[in-house]
Amino acid sequence: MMALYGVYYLQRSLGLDPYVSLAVMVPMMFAAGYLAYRYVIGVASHGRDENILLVTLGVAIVLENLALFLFKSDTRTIDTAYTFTTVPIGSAMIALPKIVAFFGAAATAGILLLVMPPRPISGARSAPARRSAKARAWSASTSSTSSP
Amino acid sequence: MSFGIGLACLGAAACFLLPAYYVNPTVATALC
Repeated sequence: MMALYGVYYLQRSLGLDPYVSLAVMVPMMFAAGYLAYRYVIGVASHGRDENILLVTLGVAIVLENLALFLFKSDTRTIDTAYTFTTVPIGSAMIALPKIVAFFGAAATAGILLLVMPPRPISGARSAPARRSAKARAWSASTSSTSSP
Repeated sequence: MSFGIGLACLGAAACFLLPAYYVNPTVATALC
């Protein structure tokens, strides 16, 4: 919601195209997230993971009501030259912004995978370790039931 | 740092989404 309002007002006040405003919004939102954790969420959660959920919920409620106060509950959108442009794909006509959004989301996910490659969760056991633990448990249960 | 990366992704999503969607205070969650 914050980012959507940011893109909306960049377009309305500066005439910046939403795709060009990527260069502004991504660093701004990164800074907002870093600062929110550094000075609000991290401080208020006192190092406990479950508190992070509560604090982010509190921040979300504050931001949502602040936005209601500032922007009212009006629904807003922007008009661009390509808003109603459609691309024929087979027998379907797909809106160009939706196609761009699809490939943009795929590219963003690809970049995220490069920046943060998947890792096992710390403390989680690997699959062979889980299998051997299961095997030990099964062996223990069968030996206790088969003994006279 | 992870919060920053997460919100940066939301910033990118907003830029891709707004030409085809709308914004109001209750859309998505507040941090989006």
